[in-house]
Amino acid sequence: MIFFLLHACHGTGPDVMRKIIHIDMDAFYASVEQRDNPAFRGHPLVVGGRSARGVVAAASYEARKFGVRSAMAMQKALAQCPNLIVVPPRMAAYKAVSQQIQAIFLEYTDLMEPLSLDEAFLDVTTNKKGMVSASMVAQEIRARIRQQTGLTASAGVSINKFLAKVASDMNKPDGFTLIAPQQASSFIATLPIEKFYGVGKVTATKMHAMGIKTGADLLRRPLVELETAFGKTGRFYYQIVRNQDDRPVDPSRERHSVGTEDTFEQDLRDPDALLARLEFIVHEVVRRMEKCHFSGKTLTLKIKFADFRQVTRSRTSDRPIMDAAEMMAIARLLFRRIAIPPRGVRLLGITLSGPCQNAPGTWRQLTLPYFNLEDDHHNPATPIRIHANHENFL
Amino acid sequence: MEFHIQKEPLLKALARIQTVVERRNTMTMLGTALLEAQDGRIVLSATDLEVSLRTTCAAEIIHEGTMALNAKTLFEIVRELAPTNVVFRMETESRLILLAGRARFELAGFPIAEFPKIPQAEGERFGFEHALLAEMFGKTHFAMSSDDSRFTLNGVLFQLSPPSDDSESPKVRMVATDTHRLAMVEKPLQREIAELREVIIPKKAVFEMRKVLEEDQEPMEIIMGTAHIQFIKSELTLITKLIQGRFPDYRRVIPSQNSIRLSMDRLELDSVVKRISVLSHEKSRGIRMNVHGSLMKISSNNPEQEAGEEEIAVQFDSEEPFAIGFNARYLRDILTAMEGVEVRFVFNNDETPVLVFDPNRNDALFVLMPMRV
Repeated sequence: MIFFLLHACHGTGPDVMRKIIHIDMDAFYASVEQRDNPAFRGHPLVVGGRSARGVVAAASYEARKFGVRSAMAMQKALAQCPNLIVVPPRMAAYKAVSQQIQAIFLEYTDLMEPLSLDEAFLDVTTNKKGMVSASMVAQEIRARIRQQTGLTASAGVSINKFLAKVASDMNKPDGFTLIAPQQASSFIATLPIEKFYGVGKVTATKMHAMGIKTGADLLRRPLVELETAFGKTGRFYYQIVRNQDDRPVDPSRERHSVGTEDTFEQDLRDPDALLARLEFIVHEVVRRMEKCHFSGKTLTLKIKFADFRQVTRSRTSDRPIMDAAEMMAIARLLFRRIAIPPRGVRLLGITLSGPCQNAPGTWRQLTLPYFNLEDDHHNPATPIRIHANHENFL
Repeated sequence: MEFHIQKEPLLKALARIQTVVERRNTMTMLGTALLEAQDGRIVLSATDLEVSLRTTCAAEIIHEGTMALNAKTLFEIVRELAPTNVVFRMETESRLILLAGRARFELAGFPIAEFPKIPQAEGERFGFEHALLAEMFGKTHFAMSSDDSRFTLNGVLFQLSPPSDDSESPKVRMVATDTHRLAMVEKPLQREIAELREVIIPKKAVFEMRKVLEEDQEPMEIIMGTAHIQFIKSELTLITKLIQGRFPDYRRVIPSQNSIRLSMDRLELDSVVKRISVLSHEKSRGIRMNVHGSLMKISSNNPEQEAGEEEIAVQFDSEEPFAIGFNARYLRDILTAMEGVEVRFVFNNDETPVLVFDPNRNDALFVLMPMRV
């Protein structure tokens, strides 16, 4: 294989072209289960709850052949694939693997931003091994993950986070994709709009209606049109299609919320039908929460009515809201307080937030400044002394 | 396998392994204890694949042998027995009879081949004073992080360092931080240290060690390997995987520009904070300290508009009044970990790291980040 080199001079100036890697473990939870239980290998398998309202948290590639996808209702998954093996999640096992792979990443760079247990961005512009080729770094990391965990990962390499993330998804599973700087523009131009990070089902439909099917179509739209249609996100689309993604790989980035929303094909009026949809949303939020290991105490329910009027109601619990039952109980309570207009509801959403999003007037614990920056690791050889009276610290 | 054993030593051994066994039972074998009867004693082992513990107690061995039994069930039965002699008799490989007085239990045995192999740390073995180890864990454990995303902070850094110049002795140091506070303790070591060694001992092992150290004053031996560390005393061995990764540069967390000094009686402050924090916001536990001259007012209030305040005498070296907020629990963790009469705070301002230490000792140092409203 020919490795393209990302040309960059060493340094940290703003004009330096960055080398970003996005690493994503393949069918992570499902692969861990298949690794740990040889009897599961080669068979369609999902991780998730078997109960009536269970949701697929992860699906093996064998299960995906049957159309089984994560976030799908378990009942539907079982209907599509009757021989499906359903395994309850073992978060401790997934966390252990996550620690192993993060330790590998940290051997190459401290600029590592985990997005969830199985996914991370690395900035290897300058790396600890002094390797010039980011492709070589990515391939070496993939080989070491396979060797140390027995699992496969896909990697994308490019000049910014957006392209690296799109790239890692190109050749899954066990794949590697480089989008070299000179290819970036032509690559984005031909990229279907659905493949843009952050463009989900709903946005894609809206984009199609506007005649935007590829990156090239998106490139032709003026900023004002995109901002009118998509708000703040419109500006984001405008920038990324122009390769303007200078979001740094931030090791200390903390997630502030996890949420999901569902726009219905037809506006719904029946409270029972709405509650059923709400329950599905709750399970999806729990799935995402577990995936990125997030916990929060504040639940916010968002309802958009048929006339696009929107209300939000939130409630803060005194401890983290952990499971679907608790979340549903709060969501139901909030839902019952909102009068549903006769024309109905077009969207429901739930966001779990905190611990940073405190109400105004409450106390906020500050973080030691070093950990906000998280630059280099310590050099243990340098002595440090605690003197009497600590004069050296004063 | 058959042996006779006294209830009390058996119960003590079973109690020791209860917190080691995996509660959530992802693998059945992690919920079991391995019992090996040999050489006039039984060896009990338990592991969660991270922390493993082996403990022995004297028994009258009739037939040697090995069994794996559910650790929790066995503990709960033995705990409720009258103080007596207990008989363990293996019927078949999967069935054990337990007799005590007129009580008879039949317990399921698990396949011993599936019991995980307990690893062995490889490295130099050296002795460690009981009081030293207990004090060092005691002054750092509370600052370990529970945030799994920063796994190198989910434990205590344990460091042995050679003297930095001729006049100094080798040092042993422990450091923990959860990014809101940092605890560091450092002691001279009366032995040769040729090169710097450091490991991160995971949280669960630190808690287990604190329990072990509370049992008696027996000195420990340590085997420090690269993948595992092992603590040994008579009748007990605790071995844990080490956290693989680099601990962050804790020296950079320690502020060097602070200059506003405030000192007071440590126990008095602790009891005032304890009282006043009752009315602090139950989540944030925020309390406020207002210093003016030689008096400090500590106050709190909660969302129900209840409030409390109390004054204490302090030595303060600034003319200007000074105010700062802290999490009462974090503050009390530090105050209780300290031993001396006096506590000193050194501030820069109300938003930057604060140094906390005993001005009459030079072996421990704490850094605490304030809270803001």
